[in-house]
Amino acid sequence: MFKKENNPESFKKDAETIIGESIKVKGNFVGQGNIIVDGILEGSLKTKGSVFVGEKAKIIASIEAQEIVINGEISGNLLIKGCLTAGPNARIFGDIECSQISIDQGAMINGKCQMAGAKESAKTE
Amino acid sequence: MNLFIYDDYLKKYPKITEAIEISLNDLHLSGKIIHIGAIKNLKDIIKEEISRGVKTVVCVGNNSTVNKTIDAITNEENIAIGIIPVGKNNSLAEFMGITDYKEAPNLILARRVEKIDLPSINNHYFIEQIMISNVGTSAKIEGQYTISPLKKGTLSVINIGISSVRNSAPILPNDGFLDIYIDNKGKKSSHFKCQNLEIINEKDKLIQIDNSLEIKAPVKIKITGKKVNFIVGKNRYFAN
Repeated sequence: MFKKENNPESFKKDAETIIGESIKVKGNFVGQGNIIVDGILEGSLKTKGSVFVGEKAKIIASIEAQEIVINGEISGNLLIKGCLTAGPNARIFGDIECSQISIDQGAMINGKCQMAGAKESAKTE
Repeated sequence: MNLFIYDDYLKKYPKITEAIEISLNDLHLSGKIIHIGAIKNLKDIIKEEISRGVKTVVCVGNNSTVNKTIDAITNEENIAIGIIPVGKNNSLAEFMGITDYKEAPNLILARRVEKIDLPSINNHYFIEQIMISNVGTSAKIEGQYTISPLKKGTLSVINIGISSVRNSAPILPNDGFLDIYIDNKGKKSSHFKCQNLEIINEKDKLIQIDNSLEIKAPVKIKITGKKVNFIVGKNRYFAN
């Protein structure tokens, strides 16, 4: 069952960019606000806002964002300042760095996961 | 001082044209009238009238009338454009909150002005939007990434318009950005914002400018940094 954070409606309000299902974007995308991806993205995506990845999305790109909700497929490294939420249909192939993580049953992650602050904790021990 | 630009097709609307002139007269809104049909150098004539003291240029017609007039006004910071809409193809007047020819003279008298971004497409200026079929089309955005629609539909680059993609930010015609919308089978599905882009088409599809002019790709579209003053009504679509 989707948590509130997976609800696209709360996320999508006033999205600056929407990459629809029948669109392919290739290159280095840099934005300021929230981004919804339901289509194909190849390259890199960087935004000061948050990213919502729909079930039909196919991303072959590195992503840097404030927060991210993933319900589709991503091949690439993720650098997330805040929370990374992986829904039951999430397929992530790449390394993750974030400060909070939430993973639904059914999600698939193949890669390393580094939580912000983990390096410092290891050093003090 | 006012200048009235009458489009050629107004000959089909003699009663409406008469009603407009009576209304303008009642409101003491006088000025020279120029009929576009008879003129080859409209831009020069408008500029000459502005140098003689015209402060408001009123387009009596539709989107096409405004598009023909805009070139003469791009470097005139103190000039305002008014619209008295007659007939079809008047989406621009609607966006400006000018619903019909009866109300328009009162709005011109009230002279509520908004500055609107002025984008260009190759050597032409446009005010509202440009459109092209998705078939064979790709757009390179700010030299950074390329958008390729995968299904039939339309790609629009909008300066003034209504956002009809659910959940996307509203279109603001004075924010210094262009809004790109791509629809798929009539449903707007994608939205991007940028300041310049290049459109290429491999199938010789024509690009429609402000529903009044058509040119071939490739084209370079950008926000020029110039603004145009438009007289608007209270119910304009982009009220702050």
